[in-house]
Amino acid sequence: MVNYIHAECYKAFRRKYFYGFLMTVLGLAAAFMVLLRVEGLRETQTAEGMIMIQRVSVSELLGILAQLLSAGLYFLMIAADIVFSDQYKHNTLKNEVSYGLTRSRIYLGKLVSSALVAGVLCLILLGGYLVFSCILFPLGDGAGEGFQAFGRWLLMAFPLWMGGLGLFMLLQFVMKNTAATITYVMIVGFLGSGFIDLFTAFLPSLNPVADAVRTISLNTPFTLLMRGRTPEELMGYAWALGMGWLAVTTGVGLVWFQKKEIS
Amino acid sequence: MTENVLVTRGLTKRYGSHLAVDHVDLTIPKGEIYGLVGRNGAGKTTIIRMAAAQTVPTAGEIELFGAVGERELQKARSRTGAMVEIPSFYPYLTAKENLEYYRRQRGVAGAYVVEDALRQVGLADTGRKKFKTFSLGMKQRLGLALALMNRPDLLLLDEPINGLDPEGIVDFRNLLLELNRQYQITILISSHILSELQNLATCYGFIDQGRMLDQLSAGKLAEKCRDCLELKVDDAPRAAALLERELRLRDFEVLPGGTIRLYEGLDMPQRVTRLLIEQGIALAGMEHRGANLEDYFLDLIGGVRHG
Repeated sequence: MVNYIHAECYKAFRRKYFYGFLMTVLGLAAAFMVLLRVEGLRETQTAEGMIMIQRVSVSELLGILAQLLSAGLYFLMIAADIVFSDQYKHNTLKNEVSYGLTRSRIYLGKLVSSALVAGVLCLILLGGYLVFSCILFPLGDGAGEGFQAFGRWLLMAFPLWMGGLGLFMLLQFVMKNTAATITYVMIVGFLGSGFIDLFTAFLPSLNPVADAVRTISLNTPFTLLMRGRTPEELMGYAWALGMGWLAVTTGVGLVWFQKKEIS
Repeated sequence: MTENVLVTRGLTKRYGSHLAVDHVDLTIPKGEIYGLVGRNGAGKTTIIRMAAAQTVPTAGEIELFGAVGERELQKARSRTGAMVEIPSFYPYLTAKENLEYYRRQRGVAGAYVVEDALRQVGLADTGRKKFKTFSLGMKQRLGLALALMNRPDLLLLDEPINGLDPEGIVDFRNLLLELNRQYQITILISSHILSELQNLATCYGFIDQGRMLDQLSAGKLAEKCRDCLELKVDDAPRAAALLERELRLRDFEVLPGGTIRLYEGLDMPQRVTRLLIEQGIALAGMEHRGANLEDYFLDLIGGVRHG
């Protein structure tokens, strides 16, 4: 398994895709910061006269980032895609099974490698965001508490991201086309709750089903967080939900892949 | 006792209602180059794909280096190298990077094996060229390099010379012969270029509509394909006795349907004809035959004979 992960990381970190994605997101983050800095500057009257004061602080930027944690689910798709690398399009899986690598090792190897690549991406992107923030903005009051709160948000988001990764890996193995997989996830992820609301508006009798779907949706803890619940309150729910998704999707994927025809 | 590298028993693959491989029993002894001969869609690739774990058999058993059962087979497969259909690699990596990726994945020790494999197939100078820009011939060579990288004891090659230019075919043939003779690598090779197969194989399996029709050694095939005079007579046993007694001919065989194949006396068809007619044996036909692999195969499947 270590050899497999080693090889996947070797390949992933040689892809322009990886660096292109990283540069694009970091570039967007930097542009966002610069805009925010320009917008946040205000002329303020002081004893010494008119000076420019920055109204936005690092702790506020951490708050903005927390609002975007659910987007991590979609970033994971990119990490999984970098590792899975259109295996069906390039027919490269045959080189692996014909050497006698077990299908379980292939599946789990890709899952773990995707998690590692996602971890590296996350570290660089979060690190970049924080570095930009600290360079361009004042820390502000309560920065220490802001960092602690952000840590708790991350701890809550982590299992949900892993659940999302498990689901996306399953879809990658089941669906032959990566673009179709991403489109499917985006549609279900972004529009799924809207569809549920629409259905239940016309068919109120479906409300119990809709509630059950919402309960097991990976987005729900993020939605509840936005509605004022604290990470501490949601921690148990998020871990049970995320790990549940990871276990179920991985189990289904492993069983399904055992009999898969490799062309 | 001969050691068998690959044995299949009752190997069957069904896709829906289509029986692609039908209870195939195949035996490949160690050190042989086994040519799998068959038309397109006969089941050659499916047999190789099952041996290479790319598809799961519907029924039957595969024995690889004496290992039977999925868990044992997976271990045994690390002693094989496979090239099935068009070689597939990551298009955005170079030849060296692609092989390095598989070397790490397979845990093959020593980075030099990548260079060695590339040199062996003549791709050592491809540098920064990405796989996506390779010609079909270069792709085939890289596929072979991957198959050779882990120093296999068995090579599974499905149509490996497709896309190679004439010089490439000769190089490829020489390389396979060298691997077989020098390193005792057993090879299972399928090809529709039968003349090329005849230059390589030491034994053959003939397959049609998923069924194994015949398996024989190259020596036995040569024997069956050697030049002969084929006679069609109304009383074959009596004619055979006459030929033996009167013309002192010993090397012949009597086949069903009143057919006699004479492997000597090919230069005296008139004497043979005269003898048989004088003795009251009706001679329905006489033909000089010299078969090759293609003729033998076509005879076997009841197809059209050429030439």
